[in-house]
Amino acid sequence: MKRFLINVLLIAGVLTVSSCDFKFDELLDNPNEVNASSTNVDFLLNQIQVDFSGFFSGTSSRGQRVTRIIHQASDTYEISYQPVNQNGTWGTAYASILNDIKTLKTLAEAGNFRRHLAIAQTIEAYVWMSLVDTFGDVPLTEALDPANFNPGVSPGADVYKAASDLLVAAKANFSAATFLGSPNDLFYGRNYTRWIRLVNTLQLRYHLNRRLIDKAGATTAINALITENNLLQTGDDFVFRYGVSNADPVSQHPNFVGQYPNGGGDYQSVFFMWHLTEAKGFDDPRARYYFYRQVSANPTSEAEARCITEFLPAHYPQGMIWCMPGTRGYWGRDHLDPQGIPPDNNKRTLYGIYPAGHSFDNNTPAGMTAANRGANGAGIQPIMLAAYADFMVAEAALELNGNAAAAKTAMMSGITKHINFVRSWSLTTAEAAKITAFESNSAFDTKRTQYTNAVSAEYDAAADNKSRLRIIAREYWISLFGNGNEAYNLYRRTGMPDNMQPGQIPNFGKFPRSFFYPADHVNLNSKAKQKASHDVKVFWDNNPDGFIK
Amino acid sequence: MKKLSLVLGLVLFAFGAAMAQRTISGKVTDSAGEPLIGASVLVKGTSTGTVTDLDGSYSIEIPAGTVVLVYSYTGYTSQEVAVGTSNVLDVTLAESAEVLSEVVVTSLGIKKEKRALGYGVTTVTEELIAKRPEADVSRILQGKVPGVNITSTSGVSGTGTNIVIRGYSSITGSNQPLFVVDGVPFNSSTNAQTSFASGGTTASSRMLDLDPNNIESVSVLKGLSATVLYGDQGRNGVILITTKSGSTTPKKKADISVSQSYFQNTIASLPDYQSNYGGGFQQLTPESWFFSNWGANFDVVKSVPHPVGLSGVASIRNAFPQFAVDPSKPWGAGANSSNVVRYENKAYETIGTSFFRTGDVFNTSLQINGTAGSTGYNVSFGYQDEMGFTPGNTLNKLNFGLGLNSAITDKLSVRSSFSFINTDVVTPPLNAGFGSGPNGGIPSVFANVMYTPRNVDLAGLPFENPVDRSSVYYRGGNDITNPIWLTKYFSNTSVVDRFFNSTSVNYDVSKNLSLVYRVGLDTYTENQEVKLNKGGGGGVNAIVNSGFYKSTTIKNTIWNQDVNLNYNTSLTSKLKLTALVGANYRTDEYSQFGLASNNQLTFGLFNHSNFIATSSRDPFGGGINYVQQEKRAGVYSSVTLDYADYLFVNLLGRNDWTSTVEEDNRRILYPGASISFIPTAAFAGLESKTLQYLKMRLGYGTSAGFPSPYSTRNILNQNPRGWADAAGTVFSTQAISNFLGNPNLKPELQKEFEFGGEAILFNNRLKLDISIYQKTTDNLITNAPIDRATGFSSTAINLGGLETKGAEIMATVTPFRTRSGFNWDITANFARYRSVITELGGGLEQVLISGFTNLGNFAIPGRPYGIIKGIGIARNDKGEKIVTSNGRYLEATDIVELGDPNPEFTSSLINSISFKGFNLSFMWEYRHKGVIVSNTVKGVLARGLSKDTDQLDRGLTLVLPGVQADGTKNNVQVTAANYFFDNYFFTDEAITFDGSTIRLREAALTYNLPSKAVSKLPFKGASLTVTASNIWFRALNMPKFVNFDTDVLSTGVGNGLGFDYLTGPSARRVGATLNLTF
Repeated sequence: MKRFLINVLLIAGVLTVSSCDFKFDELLDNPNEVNASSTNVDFLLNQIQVDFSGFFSGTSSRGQRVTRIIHQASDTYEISYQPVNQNGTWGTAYASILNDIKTLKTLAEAGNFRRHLAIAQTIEAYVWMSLVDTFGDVPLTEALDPANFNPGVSPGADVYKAASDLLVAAKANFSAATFLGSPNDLFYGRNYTRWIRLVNTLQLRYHLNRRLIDKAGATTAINALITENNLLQTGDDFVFRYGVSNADPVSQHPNFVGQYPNGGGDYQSVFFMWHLTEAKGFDDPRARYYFYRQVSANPTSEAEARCITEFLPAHYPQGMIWCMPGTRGYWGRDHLDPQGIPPDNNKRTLYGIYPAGHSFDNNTPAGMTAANRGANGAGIQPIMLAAYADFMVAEAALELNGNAAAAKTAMMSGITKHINFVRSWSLTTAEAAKITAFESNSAFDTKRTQYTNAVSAEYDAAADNKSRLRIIAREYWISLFGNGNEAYNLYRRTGMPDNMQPGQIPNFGKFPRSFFYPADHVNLNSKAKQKASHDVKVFWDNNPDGFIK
Repeated sequence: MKKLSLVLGLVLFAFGAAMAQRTISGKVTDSAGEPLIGASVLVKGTSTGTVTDLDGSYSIEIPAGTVVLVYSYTGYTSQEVAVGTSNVLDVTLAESAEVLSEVVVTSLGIKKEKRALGYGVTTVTEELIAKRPEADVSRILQGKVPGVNITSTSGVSGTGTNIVIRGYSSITGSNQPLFVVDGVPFNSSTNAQTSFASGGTTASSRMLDLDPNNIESVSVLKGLSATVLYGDQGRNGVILITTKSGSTTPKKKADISVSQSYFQNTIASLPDYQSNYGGGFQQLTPESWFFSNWGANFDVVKSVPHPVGLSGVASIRNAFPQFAVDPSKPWGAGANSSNVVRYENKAYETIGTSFFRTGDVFNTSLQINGTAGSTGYNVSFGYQDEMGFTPGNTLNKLNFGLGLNSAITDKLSVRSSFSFINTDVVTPPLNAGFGSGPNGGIPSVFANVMYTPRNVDLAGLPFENPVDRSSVYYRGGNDITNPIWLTKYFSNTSVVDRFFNSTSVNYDVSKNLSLVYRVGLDTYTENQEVKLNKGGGGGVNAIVNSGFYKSTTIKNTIWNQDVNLNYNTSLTSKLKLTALVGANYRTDEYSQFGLASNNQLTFGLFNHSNFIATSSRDPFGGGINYVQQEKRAGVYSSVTLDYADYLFVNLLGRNDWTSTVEEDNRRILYPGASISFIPTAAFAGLESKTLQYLKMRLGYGTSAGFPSPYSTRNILNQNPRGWADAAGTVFSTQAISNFLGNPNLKPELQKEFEFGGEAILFNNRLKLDISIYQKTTDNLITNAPIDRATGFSSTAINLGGLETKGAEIMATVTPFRTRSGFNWDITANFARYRSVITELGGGLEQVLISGFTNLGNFAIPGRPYGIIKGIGIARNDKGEKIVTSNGRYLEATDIVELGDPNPEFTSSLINSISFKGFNLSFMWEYRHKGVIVSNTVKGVLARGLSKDTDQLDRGLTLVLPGVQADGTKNNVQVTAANYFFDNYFFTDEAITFDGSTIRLREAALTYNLPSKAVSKLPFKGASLTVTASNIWFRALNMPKFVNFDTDVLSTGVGNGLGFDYLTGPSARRVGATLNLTF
């Protein structure tokens, strides 16, 4: 009976189908979208650059939080950085940037779009290095293959090497005599000299991170780079620039978006603000650019900030800053404070003009409103600055060459460059008039000189290289507002700045020497294996467990 | 049933008298001597007849030559009595097992005797559907069909309804059933334009367009063996609706029925608020106004500076100089707060009256039916005018229906039903909230209103800035949009114009062979608008605050054609054959276009030209403009063998071709078979007073599932406005889509075994209908996430397996049936299902079904479908909760399983008590277990609002149960504010509750005017019904005073379950309907 039924059905079916033309094939292509045959290398590169800013924003945010540049919520590091929290970085890296670059490479090589290729390779190198810095071993050789849903990981060192090779290739492509096309270069406006300096600086970064496991190799390579003297220089700063569009597309700085229009957003870190305002006995000239105070006084009600009536936690070291720094309304939160949010969004200290593109603090604190928007979010991501190159050179000079004087020169150059950059960039924004009205160039120079003199004296007074490294690292760290990637690497590499503010509870978790793999990787990939703990270190970190907290 | 018979009898026969020659009278009783009210008495071979009255008496004038009178009554065996010389004929009717002759509508609209079916079908008749306060037929069906789980997404009028029949069969595909109206598919989509987490929660489900008062009956086909002929669309069950327009019941005389209803719609789940404490924290009421209600006791702090005068926003403060003591001097927060007028710190009226309202619901319904020549007609008109209990929420629905049924020749007949529907829903925006504002700043009316601090005088405070009309509320940063302002100036609207036609042509080729061609057209346009005036303040995101307007026009069209050849014959004297061969062709076309604008120029006007920026992309939901087309073709066959009316064997199969996969995989064949065996008919002597009827059935069915269109090929995402640099230059971008097209995608095959039994026992006092089933799907079409290290984030793939086992029991008991006409029927429904993920394969450990990656429903091998994972509380090796040195629970470091949201079982008890002309019905429901994550409970408890938080002196310190990190008993004392806030606010585990709920779903009291009284009035029948819905409920294991209603689903229509994100309390409706028949 069943066979009969099937026969009847099939005969009827064949008759039906052959007699009608249903045109099913026409319905297979999505009529709403273009397909790969329409790929345009300019458009693709645009997306890669925009996605790269998002990738940097994510990794940088984490790095700033663990190094106390920005406040970190939750009780412990493990609660803050659960596997599910890493999905974004992983996805943006592989599914957006790297997969688009893979397509771009094919098109660029076929069409001789050398400069497009070079920009993509530089970005790709940065992304691979950041993936290693964040997670350790990651898929490389088996990645980006749609036929393999379970790519296995490659050793971090191999991935780093691949990134370095990409930089070499990029450098060649930036200098290639013949090329086609003209990329929309959102960073340098097609100034390839600057791109080459960036590539060199990224090589410096590569070798500096590797110095713990390959001191000799790193020393040779870094000294060669110093000798070549073609690192980022003043004016070459590699930054991603945000716009003022708040919709279609949203192009404002994410930190600005987070606190606009009614305040709120991230709490600033009490520990970091303390370094910028109270620690040296005078204000860092950058403090008014970094932080925007909404009030000029500290909270007075326990309901608004519980810490004001609480004692210093018993596990805090003597002299550690607790609660608000000073009395001038630098209203932030201590490291790993998990509490709920009182109505302080118009009181807590906000991101200032640098780098988030909000407001310069000209000593007239007022709550953020739709009218008080400063530079309206047209901020930057300071991905690699000329100043950072100096700080890296300073660390290398001290740690690899043992040259404290050269280290000082580089450090002082870095401090000056950074302080100048913060102001000079801020003066390019809509806040320029407000800034110059508050402090003239000469008034600012005076403050910078006061600052550099103090650091210089402190360095000269330092007894040993460890103390010197502490100062170099602290000054680098202060300049890394907005760049958590370098701060996170610096902290793991040097353990500096040491004596950072602890969490609120005695056992505030293990400092992430690398982050847990994303939930999406572990749950979806049969070859993936989650790490046992935050103690798992990346390949270039040979410092002991518990080295940093 | 007696009532119905009476009405039908009246309709049919009251004026059916013809030429009379002689009058016969008498009484019709049952075997116990009880009078049978409304039994029909018919002159055989004519349409002349009458019905018995309340005493069972009748009187009929019979024409000359009458030989036989036919006496019939539902549930009793009809009797033919020869007319003798006597003018008095008393007749006793024997009770029959009515199911023996019960006819139900099965797939493709084919009517079959229920006894012949090898699968379970539940039929819901008009009395359980009409005259209800709900405009959405699916909500009326709640609890009435075992195995059908129906969940309101929200109590807000017009919001969608989630329906899942017999558990789940797909992880990422749709599990919603097919609606078939008058034989053709009826689109029941929920056209949400954005996700539930960005304002998509208000979307209506399109079954809302049906008029419950125009429904004659609903049959629910639950198992695959019942739905094979519907193809892949029937795989999640079929809800077959026969409208009065499409009904076949002939009416001899024109018959007009009018009904008018009025109901009051109120909030059913308002928490019981405490009245001793106001806004603040730690027993303090500082100048700044808190979200939370942990402030000082009203006896301690009797006044505070006026919140508006204290506003941190100068433009608000300055607009209200009346809140300054001396407006010539500065006033506001901080140093100037002493120049702000004082505001009495006390418990003001609750949001129950200061915000919510009593909504009026009017429903008018008109039905005209009759016959003209060889054409039967039915005209129906319905109008629902409904106000929600939330300000700004209305629902208006106009239904116009026309049904025609005409015999053109003896052999050729045409039946056609037309409907025009206009549905107009307006709601304030709804969006997911977590107890501190709406998600992403996309507004939601309930986001903050449920925990309004008790000292906020919502009704008395100004809500609008007189200068620029922006929102004004109590918070210093103005970071909550005033809910009254919001309901006035924010709205989401949906206007649907729908045309629906089902036409069938029936040609009787010969006595045994008939040909049916049926064509269905279901087409509608839905205009959705999101209208958000500028000035929402800090409680909404910057785009919304600038003024936002989105208009979307959706057009959906289904063409469905069927050709069926029906053949029946008697092979032998005992063996009958019924066969059907058919073909089906269906096209679905969906298109939508729209615009989204922001930066409103003039307040109040919603036209894209009143906005500075307009885009074809929605900043909260991506693309607005797209089309989607899908075609399917199928051939099918069904053969039924009937042996001696006690053994029925049905074999069926369908072969489909779909346009959504590549050519090689396009065809799928799926068979089904079922057997029905009736021992009480097969074995003489088995039938007794104890056992009147027994049927056993066994069914096997399969069905296909097709992927959604465009899943097999890769695309490139192109964005003309990908980036805007600081100078405002816009760059276009392209990116390889993160979705990996899978050219090898195949249709999936689902299989189901079903076994069941039906019995009638104890002299018709107990009827039982039991089904058990097992449903499996392998190679599920899953929109599977893949490791992004592949370069893609997801693909459509045949992967994994799902198994559902379940049981349904429906029992009808008649405990009382007395001589005086008192009758009490109880129908008990029970259903349970267990859907378990048998495997995922491909290295997948879990797949997110619905929700967020760190709080959602997951598919995990070996675990129940949709298990909830979220942020848990850390526990030590002994399973004890760990408390930190701050006195809070320590969060677990990875998300943990929080529970299974699927109820262990659902049940209902439908009572119907009738006496004389009165009928009282009431329905209880009980849902056992199934967890729910409630952000309403979170907000109300964590923020110190309900009486649950006022059971003790808030001045005392409390200690959380648990242990410290070293394993010793926790002894860290915390304040009441920290106890509740820290405990309920930070982990999802703390707000996950057992959802067991007992509920009095509906009650109705109907009074039918007696026929004697009616006869003196100018109409044929009259009845008055008083109805109430959702009268009382209690979630047994949830905090008592929150009064939380578990009938809510904030993730919207789809595969999510067990989440409340503050998207709407539930409704209670009470009212009455007057029905007149002319």
